[in-house]
Amino acid sequence: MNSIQLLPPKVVDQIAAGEVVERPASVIKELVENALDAGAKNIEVRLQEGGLRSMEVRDDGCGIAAEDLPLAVTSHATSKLRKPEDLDAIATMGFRGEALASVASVSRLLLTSKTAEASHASQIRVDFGRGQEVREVAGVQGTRVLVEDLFAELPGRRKFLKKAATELSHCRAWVERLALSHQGVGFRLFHQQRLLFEVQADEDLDRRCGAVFGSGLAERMVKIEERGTYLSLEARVGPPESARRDAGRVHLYLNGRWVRDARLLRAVREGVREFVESGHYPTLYLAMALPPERADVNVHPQKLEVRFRDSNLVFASLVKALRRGLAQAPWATRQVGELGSEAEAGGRMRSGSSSFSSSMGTASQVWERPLADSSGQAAMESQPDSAGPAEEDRTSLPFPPREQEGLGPILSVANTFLVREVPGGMEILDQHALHERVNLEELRREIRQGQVISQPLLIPALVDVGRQELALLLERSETFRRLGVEIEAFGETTLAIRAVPARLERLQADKLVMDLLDLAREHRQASPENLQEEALYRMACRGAVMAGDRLDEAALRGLLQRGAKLPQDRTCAHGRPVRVFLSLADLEKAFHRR
Amino acid sequence: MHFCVDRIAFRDALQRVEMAIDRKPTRPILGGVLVQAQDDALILLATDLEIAVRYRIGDVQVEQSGWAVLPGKELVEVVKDVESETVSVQLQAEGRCRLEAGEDQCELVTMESSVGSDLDLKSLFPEVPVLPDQASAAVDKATFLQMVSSTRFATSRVQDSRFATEGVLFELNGSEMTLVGTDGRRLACIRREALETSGDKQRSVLLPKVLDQILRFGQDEAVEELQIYFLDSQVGFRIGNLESFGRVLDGEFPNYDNVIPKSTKHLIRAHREGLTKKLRLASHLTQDASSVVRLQISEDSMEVSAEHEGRGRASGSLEVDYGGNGITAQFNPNYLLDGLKVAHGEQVELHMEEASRPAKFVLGEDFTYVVMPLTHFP
Repeated sequence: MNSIQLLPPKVVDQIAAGEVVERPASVIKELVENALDAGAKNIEVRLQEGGLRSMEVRDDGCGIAAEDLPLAVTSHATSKLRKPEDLDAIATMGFRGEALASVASVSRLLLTSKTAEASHASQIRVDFGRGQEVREVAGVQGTRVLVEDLFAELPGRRKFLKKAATELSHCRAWVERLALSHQGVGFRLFHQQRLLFEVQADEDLDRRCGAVFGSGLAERMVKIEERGTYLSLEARVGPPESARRDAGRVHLYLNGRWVRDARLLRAVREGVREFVESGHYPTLYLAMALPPERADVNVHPQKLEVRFRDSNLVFASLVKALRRGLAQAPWATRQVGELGSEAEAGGRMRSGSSSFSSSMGTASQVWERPLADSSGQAAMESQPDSAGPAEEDRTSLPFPPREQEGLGPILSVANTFLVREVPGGMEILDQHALHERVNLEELRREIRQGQVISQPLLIPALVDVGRQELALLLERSETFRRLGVEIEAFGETTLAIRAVPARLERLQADKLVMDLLDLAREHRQASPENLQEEALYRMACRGAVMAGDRLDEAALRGLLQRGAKLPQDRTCAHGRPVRVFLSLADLEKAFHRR
Repeated sequence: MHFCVDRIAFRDALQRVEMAIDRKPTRPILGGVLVQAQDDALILLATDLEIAVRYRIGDVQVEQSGWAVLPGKELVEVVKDVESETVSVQLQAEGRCRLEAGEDQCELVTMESSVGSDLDLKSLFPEVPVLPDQASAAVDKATFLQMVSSTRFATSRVQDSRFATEGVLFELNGSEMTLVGTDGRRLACIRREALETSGDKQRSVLLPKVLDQILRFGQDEAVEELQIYFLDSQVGFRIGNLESFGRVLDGEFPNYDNVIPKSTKHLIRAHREGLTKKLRLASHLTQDASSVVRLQISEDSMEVSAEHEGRGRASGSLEVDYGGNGITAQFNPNYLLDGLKVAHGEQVELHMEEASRPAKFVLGEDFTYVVMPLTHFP
C-alpha cells in the first residue's frame, strides 16, 4: 500500500478528470484525507490568513519513502489503486492520485516525510509545478505538507477567492466534517497560532458532536443506530429549533466519506418532515455504511455526489430510520431560543436505537450479504413493519406524563395562540398546528386499526375537474376510500364526493379535491401506502381550525384534551412547532429576577 | 342635533344595532353608529355591509334635529355605564358630541355630523333601504323565530364552492313558507303558513348573521307580527321598531326535496327527553370529533351505546314504539342532539330505510331533520 506507482493508462481514463483544487478548503480536505489514508492518529492543521497565505497539515501517519517523494507530486500517482477493478471497491478517501500533484501545480508546496524505517526525513519542494531535488532533513515520523501562496501565479484563480474569514470558515468546515467521521483520530485546527478546534483521538462521536455543534445542542441530540445486513447507519439529530434553512449543519457520510447529494438531502427532509419545519434542514450527523461496490462515489471531481445501485432501498431505509428514531425523541416541548438555556441543560439524551430487520446483523456482518439489485426493494417491502413510519412504537413511548388537562384558565390570543399555565411554567400553543397534529394522529390510528369512520354525504359534493384529472383521481379511488373519502365520476368532467372522514368536520370539498389531485399528480408512481400517507398530511391540515378562527371555551378545552393524548404533539404535520414552553426560570430571567 | 332620551331605551336600542357595527372596519365610518334625531324620534343605524340594523325610539324630546355618526363601540359602552334616568345628547362645534347623564358626562369625537358639514348624509354613510309599505310576507313572529332556530343550526360552518349552504334557504310559495338548513351531512326543513303574502314566489338564501340578529332580539319586541321584505339582493325584516337587513347569498342551494326520504320501511317513535338523555350519556365517551353512537333498535327498545378505545364504553336503553325487526345504525351524536334540542313536541319519529341510507327524523309538525348515518371504511 505504501510504495507509489504510476497508474496504468486504462485506470487514468476511467477516472473522471476534474479540477480538485478550488480554494484553500479543498487543499485542506485533500491533505487531511491523505493523512487519514496514511493511518494518522493525530492531524494538525495550521492556517495563516484563512489559508490564503499558508496552510500546513501535519500527521503521524506512515510517511512516504524518500525515493517515492518525486512520484507523490506527479499526476495520477497513488498508493491506493492498482488496477481497474479496484475502482469498484474504493475504501480509502483518496484514490485518483491527483491531489498532491494538483496542489503542487498551483502553489509553493513543501513536502516533508519520514517513514518508520527511514533514519531521517526527506523533503521535496515544488514551486507551481517546478519540482526540485529531494533533500535530507531532520524530522519525526509522518508527513508535513506546507502549502504557500495558493494561486499566486494564477491571478485568474486568485481573484475568485473570498476574504480570509470566509476561506477560514470553509477550511474549518472541512476539518469538522472529517473529525466527525474519524473516531480514533485527533484533530487540531490553528489559525494565526490560535487553537480554533480540537478533538482528542479518544473522544467518541458524542463528544465530537459537542465540539462541532456546541455541547448544549449535542446533549439534546437524539441517537439513532440501525444495523442491517445490507445497510447500517448511525445518526445524531438535533432538536427542531436547531434546524436551519440551509443544509449547513447536515453532515452525511457514506462509508466514512462526507457527501453532499441532492437526493440524499431530500431523503433527510422526508425523514424529519414531521419534526422540522418544512423548508428547513435539521442539525444532523448521519453516517451510512454499505458494501463499497454498491455505491459509486466516482461521479464528481470532489467526490461529493454518490450513486447507489439500490437507491430506493437506501433512501427508504434512511427515511424510516430517521422517523423511527425521532418518534422516540425526548423533546417534549419546544424551547424558546434565547430563553431556553435553563431547560436545555436539563435535557437528556435518549437512545433511539432499534433493530432494522428481524434478522439483525452485527457490524461485522454488514458487508456479508449484499442484496441483488432487483431484490433490494422486495426485501424492504417484506420486512414485517415496513408499511408505516413505525406506528407500533409510537403508542407505547416513554413520554413524560403530560399534566392533567382541563385545569386553569386558557387565554386565546388573536384567536390563534392559546396560553395557559402548566407545571413549572407556561405554555403557548398554536391552535391550528395542534389541531392539525390531532387530526393526523387520530386519522392514523383509525387507519392502523383498519377502521376509518366515514361520514357519507347527504348531498354529494360536486367538483368540476378536467377529463384527465378525473381519470387520474378515479385511478386512485381505492386508496382514497381507505382514508374515508369516497369519490366517483359524475358526468365526464365532474367528480362527486360521496363520503368524507367523519372527524374532519371542517373539510371543504373543493379544497379536498384539489389536494387529492395534487397528490395524484405529484405521486404518479407512488405506492398506495405512500400516497395514503401524503393524503393524510393534507387532510389533517385542511380539516384543522385556522389561525384566527374563534373557538369557544369548550372547543379549546376539547382540543387540548385531544392533544394531551397524542403520542407526538411537538410539531404539526409540516414540522412547525405546536407548543412553546416557557419555564419559570425563563420568565424570571426575562424579568431580571435572577 | 340635540335630544334627550330615556337611558334604558337608548341602551337597549344600541345593543340591537351593535351586531351590525363592523369590528374591523375597512372604512372607518362602518365602525360607527348613525344617530338621527327628528320629529320626536331617534333612529339608530349601523351596518357592516353584510347586515344592517335600524332601530327607532319614539317619544324622544328632540330640541334640535340633526344627525351624527358616533364611534359605535364607545357609544354602546358609555351609555351602558352612565348612571341616570335620561341622557342628553348635543352636538358641539369642532366635531364633538356631548353626552350628559346626571352627574356623568362624556364627550365623543364625531366621525361625521350635520354640524359644519355641507355634504349629504347619503354620500357619507352607506345607504340602507327604506322599507316599502307592502311587505312580501307577514308571519306570526313566534312561528317565524321558531322556524329560524329549527334550521339555522344545521347550516354549514365552512364555505362551499358550489352551494350557498352556510345560509338558510327561504322559500315562499303562495302562503307556504319553507326554511331549509344543511351542511351536506344533515338537513333540517320546516314549513309553515304565512299570515299574509304579496303572492310573489320567492327563493333566496339568507345570511346566517341576520337570522342570528333577529333570533336574539326579535323576542323582545312587543309585537305579534313580523314582516319580511325582499329587496334588491337584500332581505329585510321588520319586528316592531327593529329593522334588520341582510345580504342575500349568491349561489345555488341544493335540491333539498331529493334528499328527504319519501318512503319509510322502519318507523320508530321515541320520547324526546329520554332519547336526549341516552345520547348524552353515550356521547360522554366520544367527545372528540370522531363521535359515533350506535342505535340498536329492537321491537320495543332502543339501545344507545358508544365506545372509545382509550376511555371505555357506555350504553343506555329506552322504550320505543316500533314493533319491527331489529335494525342498527351509527350516527354522530352531536348531530342527533342538535336536532333534538330544537324539536317541538314530546315525541320524535325516526323513519329509516336501512342503516346506510339517510335517516329521517320528524321533530314536529312539518319539521323534518335528515341525518346521514356513519359508515366504516374499508
